[in-house]
Amino acid sequence: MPLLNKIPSELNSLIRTEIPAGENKADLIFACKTDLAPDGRIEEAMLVVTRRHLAAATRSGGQWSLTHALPLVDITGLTVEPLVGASALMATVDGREIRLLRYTHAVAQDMSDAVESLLHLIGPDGSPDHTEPVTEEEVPDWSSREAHLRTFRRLWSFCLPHWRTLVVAMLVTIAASAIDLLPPYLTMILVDQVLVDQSTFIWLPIIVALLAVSRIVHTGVTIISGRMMAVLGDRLAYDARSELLNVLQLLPLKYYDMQQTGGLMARIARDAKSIHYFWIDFAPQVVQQGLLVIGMTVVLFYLNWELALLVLVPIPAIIYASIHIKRYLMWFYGRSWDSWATFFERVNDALSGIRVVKIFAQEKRQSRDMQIENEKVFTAERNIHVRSRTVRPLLAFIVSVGGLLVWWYGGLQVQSGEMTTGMLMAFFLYLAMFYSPVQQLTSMADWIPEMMTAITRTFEVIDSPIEDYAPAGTVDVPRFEGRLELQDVNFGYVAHQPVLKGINLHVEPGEMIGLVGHSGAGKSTLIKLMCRFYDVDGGQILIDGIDVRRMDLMQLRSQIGYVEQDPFLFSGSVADNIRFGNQDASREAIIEAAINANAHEFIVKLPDGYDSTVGERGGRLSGGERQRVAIARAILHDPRILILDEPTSALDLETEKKIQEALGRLMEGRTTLAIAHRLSTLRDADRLLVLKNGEPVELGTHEELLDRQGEYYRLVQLHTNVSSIVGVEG
Amino acid sequence: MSFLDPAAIRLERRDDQPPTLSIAGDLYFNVKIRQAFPLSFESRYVTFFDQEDEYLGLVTDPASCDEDSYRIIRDEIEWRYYRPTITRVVEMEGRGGTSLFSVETDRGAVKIPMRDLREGMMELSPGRILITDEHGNRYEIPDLDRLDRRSRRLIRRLI
Repeated sequence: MPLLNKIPSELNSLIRTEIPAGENKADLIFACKTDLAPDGRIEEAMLVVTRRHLAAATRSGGQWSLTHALPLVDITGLTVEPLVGASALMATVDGREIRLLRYTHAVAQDMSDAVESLLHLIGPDGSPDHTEPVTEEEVPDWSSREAHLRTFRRLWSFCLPHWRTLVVAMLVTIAASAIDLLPPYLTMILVDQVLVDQSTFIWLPIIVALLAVSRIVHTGVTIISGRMMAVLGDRLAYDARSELLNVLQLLPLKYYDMQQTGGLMARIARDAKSIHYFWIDFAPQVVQQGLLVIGMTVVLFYLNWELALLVLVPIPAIIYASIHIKRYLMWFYGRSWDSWATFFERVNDALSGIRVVKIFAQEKRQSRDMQIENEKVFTAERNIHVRSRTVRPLLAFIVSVGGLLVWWYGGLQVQSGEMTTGMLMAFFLYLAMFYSPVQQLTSMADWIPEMMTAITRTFEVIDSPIEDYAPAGTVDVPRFEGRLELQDVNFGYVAHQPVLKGINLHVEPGEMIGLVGHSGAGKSTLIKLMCRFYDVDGGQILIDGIDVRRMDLMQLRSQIGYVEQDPFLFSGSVADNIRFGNQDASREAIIEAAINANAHEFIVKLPDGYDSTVGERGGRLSGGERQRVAIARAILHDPRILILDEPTSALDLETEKKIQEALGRLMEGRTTLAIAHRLSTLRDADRLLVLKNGEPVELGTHEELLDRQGEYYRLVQLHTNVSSIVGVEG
Repeated sequence: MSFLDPAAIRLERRDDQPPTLSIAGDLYFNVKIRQAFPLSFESRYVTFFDQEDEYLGLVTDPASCDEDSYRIIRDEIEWRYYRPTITRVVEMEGRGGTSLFSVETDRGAVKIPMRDLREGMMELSPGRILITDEHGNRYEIPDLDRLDRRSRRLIRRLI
């Protein structure tokens, strides 16, 4: 839940009484709900920010009480102290730290948003008078069960543009149901009035013709409605997939860090399809079967109400059994699904790792392990099939009870002349049609949750907040000069677990800065911040004196080049990959970029030259070749600022030299920030920034830092030792 | 010396030997000629390698070389890139995972065995199809619309 612009009225009146005059409801700027009382009990608590005060309140036993109320002007600092399993918000007043609130990680993100907003308001320079109440757009929570109703509304909104088709299809469906009711009735007339009397025999061909016509019309109408719904359903699934695909490209990188790509693929492929199922199978079935049941009930009662009542006798049993059988079997289906999933996982593992398996001579063990999973699949499948083969006949038996009752009571009535044979026949025909929609409707009831979950998951992605590409007040910077400034940059992936602390750096245009540090020191994180995959938590990053958050994201990124450690190539040709960032590039430009990247020669030696396909993720090229294609891609992109993550993997000396040359050309005249692993790069860098545990510890040239004999010196010593072992001394 | 001036180069060839290339007076024997874009832009971007397979340079527009050199370039390319053009598809049959295409090409009739249709059939541009058989041999349909109806229908089913 984001920041609130409303607080409970009880708390509001409490604040008004406790905090001196001038504070009324309109003065609330924002509030943030938290979850711990000062003594650590789980209670509703709240951080309340009014125009002049910061207050903390807790509700205990239904009563709100204020634990703190500090004037904003007195607060000189606000910090969040990470605890274990919780965090605390600390305020500094008169040089003293005050523990304002404690809260669990569940609300950490909200609180860090709150603190960020608060930082502008506190202290003598705070500007509460110019602050608008904070209201954030609410992100719908699609996960709750109550959200199903909202899901239905969304489903409907997808359908809205096609409502005409839908209405026509529904009308046709209704017509089909009505026509379905006709044949038994005609049969009754045939038996009672035509077959018994020679004089009315002339009606026989007419009735048969009518029966034939009703079947033909029914078939036609069913085809039409089926086709209409099929087209509509496919169109809706297509619409949902298109929206998903659009959103997926625009979601922030943060989103992907939290999601498994496989799961997202499943959403695109499977879940979006459930919208199709809803409109194709579910909705028309419910309408058609429901109408049939209602229609037949009316007709049955109209024909003979006593017999109709007998028909209804097994209905509760059918409904009860259908629901329970479905649930009972669902559990076994679930087990089966699980066992198949594990089975595939195992087999996939064993096959992809076949080389390792053979080297370690573990074929027999692998085989045995897979066999165990195979047995589990067998058991799970057997459980389903044995049970379903048992319960289905039982259900059929319950259905047949209705038939027996009709035979018995109907037979008595026919004998006593109260009912005709034709009517009894008609009853049987209706009976055969009656129970199956009842069963189908009941089993559909169980299908709803499954389908709704899938549909909901689809909307969850579609409604995820996308990156803010062009925030309000964007400054237009068509071409950077390349001056880079990091001012007191703080950042953490998880609220209040800083990965980078107090980074300050000033880089002149064209300067090359090497980032050095152990793994986990924060080098890659710094690079992600530069590309604005994430935003800083504190401080700012300026390019040519402008905060990157005030730039159009597209404009910013189009001027930043990024060469990854293990570059990603898209399946397609070498040429496609080189021109990835610059689709209009001429072939000459592509060749020139490749020449500068030392890639041209190996490319033209490929059988299809620049037209060679690189395979999935560039798998048909070697590591060194992929590197050089990626460098060519960056050269053609012609960025003003270059971000480079040097590969750590050892390549042969020849390739190594070629890549170094290529990188040298790429860096020429561009501001470069490089995660450096090679001594040669370190030596060539204008300055080096040494990071340790997210903090900058040293800054200077290679020689300066070596002379200092500090952190950098130790790293180089380590590196030299390792390099002399693997033989890739730069 | 990557981009070469067409006026500064000259190719010569004796009988069946690989050609000799002179670049501004320097002679290179047994040169190899490769295309930079053999599939997407055949008529341009020709690269030269010496007999050690060291890269010599590239000519953007070989047609602006002198006539003899241009002819040698075309012959060399024709020699290196063997890719019969399919003129008619006679029959297609599937046999246990392998498809067999009986086709007529500008080099004669041939049967093309294909294992993976998805990998083997590539539409380079609309209507232009490159077929790579399971042995790696290549065939081309430059313009599907110019084949007869039956051939078109057989191919269309697969792409």
